[in-house]
Amino acid sequence: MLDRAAREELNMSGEEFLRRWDAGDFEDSDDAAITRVAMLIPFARP
Amino acid sequence: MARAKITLSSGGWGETDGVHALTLNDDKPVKLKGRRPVLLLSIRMQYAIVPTNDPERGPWRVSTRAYAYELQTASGELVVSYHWHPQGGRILYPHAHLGHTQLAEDAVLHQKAHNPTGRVSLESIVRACITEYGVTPMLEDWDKTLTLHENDFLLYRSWS
Repeated sequence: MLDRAAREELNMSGEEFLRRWDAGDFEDSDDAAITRVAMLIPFARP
Repeated sequence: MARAKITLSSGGWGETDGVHALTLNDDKPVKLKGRRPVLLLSIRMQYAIVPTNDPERGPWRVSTRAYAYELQTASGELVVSYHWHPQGGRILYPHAHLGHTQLAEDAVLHQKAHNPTGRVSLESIVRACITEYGVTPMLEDWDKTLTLHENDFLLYRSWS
């Protein structure tokens, strides 16, 4: 589910999104799409 | 208003450690009943199952950790969304985004602006769909039902 959302909304894989999220790449972002995708992280990483 | 299946992340039915996620219909926006032009609703929430000392509610309750409620046009364009995601991003307070399809080119309001709001309940979004956007409720006693559940939210929320 996260992978689908990341590809549709951010044009990246779910794996890449998680890697960049963990690295703090999005900490200063105000992109609503990033926070919407982040909402699905528990589906990929219980 | 719509028939939808709640989709929870693994452990979301009862595990008391960690944060869980909730969507509707495997995260596919739900078509709202009776509304022309068509309006879609997307729900994404994060929550935790936490202990409570309230003898009438305990020993556990659900505590919201983040939300993204979004109304969309039939083609998936944003109409309005309500966000709160204190776990990450630059904007940590509850806010709303207005879709560009709803705005004039020279409007001051902008899709990227984070318009501050109070904390928004899911029940208040459902109510607004019915009272403000012409969606048809599926229950005759929808007002009473929403009020009942929203009163619980107002009573037991841990912040506002």
